[in-house]
Amino acid sequence: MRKFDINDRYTVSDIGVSLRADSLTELFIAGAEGMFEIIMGARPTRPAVASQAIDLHADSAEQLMIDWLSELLYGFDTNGLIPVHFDISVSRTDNDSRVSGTIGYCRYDRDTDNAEHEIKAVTYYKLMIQKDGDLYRCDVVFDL
Amino acid sequence: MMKMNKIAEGIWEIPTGAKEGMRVPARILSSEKLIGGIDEGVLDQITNVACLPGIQRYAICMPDAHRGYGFPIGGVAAFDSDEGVISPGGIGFDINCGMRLIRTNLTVDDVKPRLDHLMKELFQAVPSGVGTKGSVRLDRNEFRKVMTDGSQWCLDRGFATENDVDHTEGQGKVSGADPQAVSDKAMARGIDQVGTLGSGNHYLEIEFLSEGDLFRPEIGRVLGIEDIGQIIVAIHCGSRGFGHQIATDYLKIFTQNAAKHGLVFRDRELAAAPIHSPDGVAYYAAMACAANNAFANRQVITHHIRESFAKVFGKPAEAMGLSTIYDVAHNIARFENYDISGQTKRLLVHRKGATRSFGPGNSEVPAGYRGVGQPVIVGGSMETGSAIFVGTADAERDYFGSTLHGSGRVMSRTRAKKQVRGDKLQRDMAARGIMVRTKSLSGLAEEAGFAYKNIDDVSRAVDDLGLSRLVARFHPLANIKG
Repeated sequence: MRKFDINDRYTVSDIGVSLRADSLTELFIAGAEGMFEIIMGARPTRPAVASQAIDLHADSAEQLMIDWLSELLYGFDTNGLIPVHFDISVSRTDNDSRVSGTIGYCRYDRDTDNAEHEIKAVTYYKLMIQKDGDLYRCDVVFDL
Repeated sequence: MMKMNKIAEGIWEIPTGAKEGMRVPARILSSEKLIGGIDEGVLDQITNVACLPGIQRYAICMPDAHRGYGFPIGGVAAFDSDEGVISPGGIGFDINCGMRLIRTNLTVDDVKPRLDHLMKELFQAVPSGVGTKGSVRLDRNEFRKVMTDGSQWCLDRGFATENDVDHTEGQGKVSGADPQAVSDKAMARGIDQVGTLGSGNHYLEIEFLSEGDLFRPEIGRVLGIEDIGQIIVAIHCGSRGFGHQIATDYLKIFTQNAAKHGLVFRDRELAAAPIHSPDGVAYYAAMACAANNAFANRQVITHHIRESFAKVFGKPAEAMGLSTIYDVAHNIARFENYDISGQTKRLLVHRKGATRSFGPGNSEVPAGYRGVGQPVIVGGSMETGSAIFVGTADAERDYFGSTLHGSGRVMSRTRAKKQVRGDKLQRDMAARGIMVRTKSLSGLAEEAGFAYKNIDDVSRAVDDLGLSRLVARFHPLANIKG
């Protein structure tokens, strides 16, 4: 299970996502889906045309979330890659968090996709991954 | 709400005892009309800034302040260059986001009959919106020259005139830029984006001077603003993905190395490093690269604007008097000297959503403007146009030569979109004589005028405080929204 809600209760200038999921892996996927819904307005339903392996480490799950979303933002900004399929897993120990696997992408088409927002960066603003019973929660705010 | 003490007309102060760790008071510069609307988050953020090592005098909020990340937007703080810190959160993700005004000899009557054609040309020549690439093709070596030379690179490549460079803050170049401090990712994000507007609140606007909006005609004459109906072009944009990536890279490094530097932050977006530490030196060098890239970006856009005017009006840009009035940074850190307790100290002044405001006689002000002070360009909403001020000696003496940068947003994007649809706003603005072209109608609704503070209230506040003097306001005629 994974869900995201887009909202702008954090600052008047920017937009974020409230994420909920039953695993860390699903939470990270929800973050990516939420971020691209903010960028695109509605995420493309096209199938993936390319795939790339990903393997990121960080000393905390929060830093890993920043790195993960920043990496996807970089792929979009430089090569127009929009992630549409996730075959990843996220693991966490005391001082090492890791996301690894493969992401399937479609490509941004400037003539037809009509993106809504340019995200400058993923911020640390109020970023904290919490476990509430069986549910993981996290808010991520983007600088627009 | 954190308690503020009113200490003079337009000046409120939060004393050091208000929060544990505050090294200096926080000063809120505002007006009776605006102060009631200040966000509690702004006060929390500016008092966090007041806790940073090496901060001098006070942490300052400008009248257009609103909540940002780490520092509020509209925040100014100066740090001792020996003992102080440098913070990406005090500059912003969009390093050297700024504004430029270009004057012309044209009038509204000259431009209106060809406005549609002109807007088509500009929309084509200046790429805007998400994921756009510029027409200037650079290899990595050439891009490094953009990073180190800024506007001078544009002059060398035929994208600028000497007047453009002279009329750009710091001649369009921050020294100390070192491409070695820039990541490959930042290179990849920025290399294709020189000469692009970007998205969000960035814009290119055709504006004009209307009756009653030239408040100090004697200064206007010096700046080349004197005729009612005169056409002015405004550009608002920054360093694009290049600067965003540099800020992202160094926030991570500063966060990871905080303990090594013996620093603890109340907010991770306030992450900082000692100015003279290897991390601090590297970030300053990378920040300077992004600042120079942004100066070059606005300069290449200026070149495209000249080409577009020449094509539409069938004569050279020079014949239409297209020349840069001034170009200012709104998000930057600069080394400057100030008197602190009777001693001249070298400080690193962070301006985030704030503008340098140097008064008459300052040697940093272009010779032609030195008698009146440095032009300060302030963006309003796309429905209200821009304003031009000049800097003051008072701002230099009291507030590290700083003033406001814009109207300041007061309404979230979602709320703005709930109040008006983009297509309706576009039609309403057209009915009021403002043509808008955009790639995103939804994004247009987010930038509606009512989402921002009233520029008149903010302008009056800074004028009354003596932070800068209002010279003229310009009304929008046509806008390309990024």
